[in-house]
Amino acid sequence: MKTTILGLKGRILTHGPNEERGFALCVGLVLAGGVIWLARSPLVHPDWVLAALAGWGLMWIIGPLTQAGAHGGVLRTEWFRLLPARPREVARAWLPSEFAGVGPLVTLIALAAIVVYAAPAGGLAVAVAVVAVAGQLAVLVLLSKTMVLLIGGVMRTRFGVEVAAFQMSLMLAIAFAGWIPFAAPVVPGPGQRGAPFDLLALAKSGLPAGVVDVLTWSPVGWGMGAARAAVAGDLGGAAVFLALLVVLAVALAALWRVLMVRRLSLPPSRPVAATGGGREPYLASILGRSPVGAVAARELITWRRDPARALELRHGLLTPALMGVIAGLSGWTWALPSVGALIAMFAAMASVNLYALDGTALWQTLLTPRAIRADVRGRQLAWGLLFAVPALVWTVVSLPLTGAWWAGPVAVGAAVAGLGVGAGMIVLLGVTMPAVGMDARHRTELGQRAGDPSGQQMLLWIAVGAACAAPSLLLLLVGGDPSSWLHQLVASALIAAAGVWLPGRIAIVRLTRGGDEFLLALRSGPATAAQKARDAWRKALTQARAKTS
Amino acid sequence: MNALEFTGLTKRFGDKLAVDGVDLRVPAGSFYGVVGPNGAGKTTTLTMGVGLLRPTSGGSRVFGVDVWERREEAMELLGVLPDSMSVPERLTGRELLRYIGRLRGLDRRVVAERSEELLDVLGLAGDERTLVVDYSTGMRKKILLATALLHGPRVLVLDEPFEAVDPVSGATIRGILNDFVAGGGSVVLSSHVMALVENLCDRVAIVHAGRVVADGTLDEVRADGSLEDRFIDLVGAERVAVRTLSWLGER
Repeated sequence: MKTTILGLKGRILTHGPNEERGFALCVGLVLAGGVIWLARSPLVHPDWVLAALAGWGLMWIIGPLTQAGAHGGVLRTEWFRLLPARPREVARAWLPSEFAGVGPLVTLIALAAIVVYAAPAGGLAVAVAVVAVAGQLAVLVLLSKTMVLLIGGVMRTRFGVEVAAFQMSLMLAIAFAGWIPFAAPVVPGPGQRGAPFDLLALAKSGLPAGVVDVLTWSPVGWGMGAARAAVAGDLGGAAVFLALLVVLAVALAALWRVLMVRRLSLPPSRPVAATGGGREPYLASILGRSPVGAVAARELITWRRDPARALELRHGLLTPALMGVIAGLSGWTWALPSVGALIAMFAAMASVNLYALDGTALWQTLLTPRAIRADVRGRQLAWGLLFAVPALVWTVVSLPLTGAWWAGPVAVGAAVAGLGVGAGMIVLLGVTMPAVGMDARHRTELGQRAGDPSGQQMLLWIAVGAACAAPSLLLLLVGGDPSSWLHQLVASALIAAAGVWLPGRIAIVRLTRGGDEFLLALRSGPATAAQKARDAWRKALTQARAKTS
Repeated sequence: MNALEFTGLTKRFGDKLAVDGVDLRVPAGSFYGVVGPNGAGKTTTLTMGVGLLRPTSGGSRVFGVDVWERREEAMELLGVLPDSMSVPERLTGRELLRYIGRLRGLDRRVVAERSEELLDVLGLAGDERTLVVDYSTGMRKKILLATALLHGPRVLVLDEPFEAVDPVSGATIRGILNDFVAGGGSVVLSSHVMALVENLCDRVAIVHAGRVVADGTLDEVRADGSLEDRFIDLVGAERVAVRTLSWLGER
């Protein structure tokens, strides 16, 4: 049965869709190459290899949290429930397949850095490093898979949404603002100069001893710990680390098996949406008197109850807020008023795929007289209430708190223009470039395929970013004063009004004229959309060949 | 006057001809059944007929109003229950009705009263906190029927309205639809349950491989036999030749 399950997973992986896996493989290989380079480079202290591998290990633990557990895996337990085999046997046969996939492969390559690090110290150190790599890989994969089983139930709850949202927002904030703590000492404020930054010295000097101890004695650092002990000639120390790895791997495998047997023994059930209907939000009840208000009210409720949207709502607000916290803690308090403009950018990115998320529910809008305009404008209104209000409040309140009054006009102008254009672009891109996933009626929980709008998000990032800069650029162009409150307010209000109205108008016309085709695309689902793209590509290739021959 | 009129409706998906020149006339006040095997083109025909899918050729009118040319007018007259489509899933049944009512610009009090009655009659009043996404297939059919009825349409187009609906609710829905027709409304429904169509409808069309192979009053279509016999005759007798599995039952 072992080979059958492993073969089944291999077959599913090769059938695809493999776009995401291919991307993950490419990124993973580049990162793994980077870790190996750290281990080889004489300019880099081995502490940084330890830190990189610890970070890598942390991703295995964070992964199940951000993926929101649910049905993360390729294989589903319900496929095996009716087999005439005991859950214990199925679990035993299942275990090897957990090591098949892109994640374990690129991790293995990254961990090879341990062997590269130990190589100059001779054969014994290399032997220790090879065992350490195997042990570390087993610990990371098993730790992650055990976490998936442990938190699978938790992630279906409201609490799970909060945890997943915070984790992802924190990672995004670090990705976008992680450079600020390094830059802040060099440039404490606009026009000021601080201490010079020396990357080379930092790379050579290693990490503080306390940090190294914590990393080495945490399970993500045991592999590197064993290799460092072996390189230093401390074989006893190396043996202790290897023994720790083996004991933890065996213990985790046992725990995984217990949890898996329990999962396999549970009766199958259709998951129920995490957030049940309750009282209508007050705002929704007073909004819903006109058709536009009815749509806005529907949107406010859906933002609250649809777990995919609830997650995006939090990303849109939390990521810029956490970026502000990073900047503030680094001493860049003067940058805090710009968080309003960042909210415009992140909120637009978080909301680009609303039409695809709501899926075939569009039919009701198409069959209701005058509902298309109400749908587009109502979505914009709800978006404004959810994102524009907090963004503007943050911007205004941050001015007296930070004392950065000089930044006020530019920050407010950027936020107003960015929010206006964001409110327009989300509906325009929503109806012209939907990333179709599982239809709304089948999406009961997080982690189900909801379409991947990464490309559209990149586009919005640029468009809304440009809109934030637009009022100041426009004022410079027409001879206005970007530091004047009046000039900024007038310029940004004009841009915002055009930004809300025009793309919204185009979306309304597009839905009125081609709503049926859009509905057909939403009905076709992701598989057919991918199929169509492939067919179009093949057709183009054939035509190109015919032309050249 | 025809409540609904399809003329030469044709739909081609790539190389596949899904619907091939369907002509259908639904007289006002009639209860019209469209029957056919799975994949015959019933859903595609009805989806085109109500203006949710653009036909490759042909047209559709509701009381003489073209659904593509004078869309808004046609939509006022129609109530639709489509198959396999979402609604705003994160609303409860009552919230969905309130939303649809307000979207249509109906008076608040009217929406509240009709919603109350629809939820009560269709047996959904006890599920106040359940979101539509968590509804069973039968409950989903019932709430969709409620949204189709809410604004008091003159023509109802219902795709498989009785699928997965329990017998008690099924009887209720039959009662509602019969009252609707008795009051001058017109109903078109699709189904592959012959007995149901035979009990409810006064006119029938049999659709097979994208074409209408028979239509008329129930008596005209079924001639001397039952609707099922006639259906099997038209759709192909070879389909029902009894075949068995050689290995099943061996011990």
